[in-house]
Amino acid sequence: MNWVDIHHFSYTYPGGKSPTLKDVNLSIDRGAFVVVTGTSGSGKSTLGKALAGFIFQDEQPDYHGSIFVNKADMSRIPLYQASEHVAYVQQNPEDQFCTLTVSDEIAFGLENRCVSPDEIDNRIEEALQIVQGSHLINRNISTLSGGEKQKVAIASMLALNPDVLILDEPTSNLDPIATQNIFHTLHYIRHKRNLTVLIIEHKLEQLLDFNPDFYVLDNGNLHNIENISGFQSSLEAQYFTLPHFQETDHINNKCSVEISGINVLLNQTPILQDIDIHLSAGEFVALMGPNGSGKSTLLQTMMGFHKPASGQIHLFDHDLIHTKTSTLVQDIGFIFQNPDHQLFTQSVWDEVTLTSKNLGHLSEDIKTRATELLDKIGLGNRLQDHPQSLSYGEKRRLNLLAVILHMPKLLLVDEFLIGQDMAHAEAWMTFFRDFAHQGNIVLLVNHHASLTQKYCDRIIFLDQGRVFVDGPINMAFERLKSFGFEAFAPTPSGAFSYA
Amino acid sequence: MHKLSYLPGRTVFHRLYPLTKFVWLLLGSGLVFLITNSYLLLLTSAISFGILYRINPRIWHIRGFRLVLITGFMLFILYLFFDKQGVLLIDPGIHLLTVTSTGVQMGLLVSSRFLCIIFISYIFILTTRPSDLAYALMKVGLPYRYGFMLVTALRLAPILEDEGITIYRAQLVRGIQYDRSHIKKILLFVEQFMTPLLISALRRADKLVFSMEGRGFGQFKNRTFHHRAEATALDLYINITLIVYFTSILILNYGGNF
Repeated sequence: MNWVDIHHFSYTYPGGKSPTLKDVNLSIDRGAFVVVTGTSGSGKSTLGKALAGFIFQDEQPDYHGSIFVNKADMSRIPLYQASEHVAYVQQNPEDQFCTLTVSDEIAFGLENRCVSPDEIDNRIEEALQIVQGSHLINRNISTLSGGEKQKVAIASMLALNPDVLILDEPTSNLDPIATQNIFHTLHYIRHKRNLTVLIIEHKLEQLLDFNPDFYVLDNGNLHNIENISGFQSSLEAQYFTLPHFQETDHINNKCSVEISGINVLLNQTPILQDIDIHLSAGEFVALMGPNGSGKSTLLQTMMGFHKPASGQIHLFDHDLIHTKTSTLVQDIGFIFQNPDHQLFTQSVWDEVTLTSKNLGHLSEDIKTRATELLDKIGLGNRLQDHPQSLSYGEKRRLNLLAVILHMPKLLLVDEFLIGQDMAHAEAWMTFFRDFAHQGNIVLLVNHHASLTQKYCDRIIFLDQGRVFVDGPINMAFERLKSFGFEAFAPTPSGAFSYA
Repeated sequence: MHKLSYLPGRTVFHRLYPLTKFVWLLLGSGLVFLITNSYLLLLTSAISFGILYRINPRIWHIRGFRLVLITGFMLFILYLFFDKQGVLLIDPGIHLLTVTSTGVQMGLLVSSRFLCIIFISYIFILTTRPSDLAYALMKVGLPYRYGFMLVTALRLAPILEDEGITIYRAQLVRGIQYDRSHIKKILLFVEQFMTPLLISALRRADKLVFSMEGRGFGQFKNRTFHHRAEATALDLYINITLIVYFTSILILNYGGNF
């Protein structure tokens, strides 16, 4: 028997109409490195949770087939026993931590298993050493960076000595440098421990160097990918529709944003320093930079959430310092990272028309446009449904429509591509580009170099709160490469990666 | 302005065992009700303020602290105005403004009692990591399931606070105007604010269950703790000092007639 054996496994969620996993077969040897990819909603996380034994905890789980890990039948053992075989690191480490300090977090599982305090200390030290995070031992979790948090999440699982380590999109919140760092760490762990690692991941290009076995979950079916290039072309066929905006020559040149010399302090710490940016109508601009470089703060300052300590911001006709956010809404649309944080009403229709209603602009014209656009994004027959009942992709489309229905001239978008597969990401980028080229401005925070290269007009790269590079795409990438930020620039194989 | 929360440091009070501080927080809050002499109580609250000031000289910058002082002062003024028993001390001719000995005594007593409890609570909060207290309580017998309710609540509270801010901002960018709407509309906005916050909190709880059970939480009736912090000689000295202090105060207060 193989170390991991999934045999003709199908699974349907309680209340689900069709199976999420369909007749999945997978054998993994001890010490193997497996990458599972696939479109959003294809069942990747469900496969991970099945392997970890989570889905068998329901009263009457609806499944067929079997899953064995190191000879243990995962469907027949209680969760605490399953956890001795498989450790599951969740997508966002923030969701996983249940204590407040690094050492408490790593000790947590060991304490539950009544390991002696001396042994716990040894294992904490060893686990941190192996993720190259020994210096973090006395830190509070709240003070860690995104990459450090992910290392602690991995260490807290490694300390338990599992047979298999599963990581669900471990780098989705990380910048390219931190991403590389985590992948190297995982590679090192495998060698050091002969540990079997399964990663659910969109970023394939950075994993190629480690020579893993690639699998794709397509609509619940698992396939081995032997030819990565062929795999890419099959994905492009899966585009979905977004409202299409035609490029136009009639660009309103008065539509511009002028940011001069702004400094922003948060809790007395300088976050943005001497920022000078001019944005013109028709530009699709990528705002890039390492985690913590001030990208989100810049967007939030433009929306009036932070008052600059000095400097000026002119958004179209408004002097930002003297304008309320509620007035800016007329001209600016802002999309946040998490779709759930921006759905407020009880129906899809109410959600889409909420901004116009609040601004007192809900005319018949707008209602007609809302109906047309809802049809286009495939929600035309779900007007009365609760927004929270939609799928992740549907929620994202609803978020977008809710923000652009009243036609703002500037669209500020924060980390929108996180967790989206390449097909969806490309569709979104096409939409943003067309929307900008219609005479608007789109400022998008993202880390994806090859998509930026393909769709954006310009890059503004922030580093430690300052504008490090600002220029046309190719020039900007060249400059980034020459200053040691290669990880942020596209690689020749970049086309194979996901968002 | 800073929030009232644990402030890392190396003062004597930071180094005390959390249970010592917790027990004295409860004892101290009870003892101030036994002290009936306003001057002794004033002395006690002055000492606790001195300790608080040593721990954090920027105590004025903690949100709400000025309000506490104002409330203490107002309590004193209220007693001056409304308690007219005892010897007349000041008589400006208007009855409301007359000051009597009982008014002063009672004003000092009530406001000192109030301030003393607040000051020792501040000392406790500023010098004790809440999770250290939870672990200490679990080590002396609090069932760990309850102990971890406290730890996970402490873990989630700041995250939910941040999410609340994001949701509020997401509302603002959709044209919601809390400041220019009438009460009925504001109630609707609050409902619209609570919906995503509640959903998000439930999702987090769900994921946390995964994370905790996936690491064997609840497998055994007991668990071990890698925390080794225990009471030291310092705790003994502080205990003796406080016992001597409060005994002396009570003797002075009751003059030996308990």
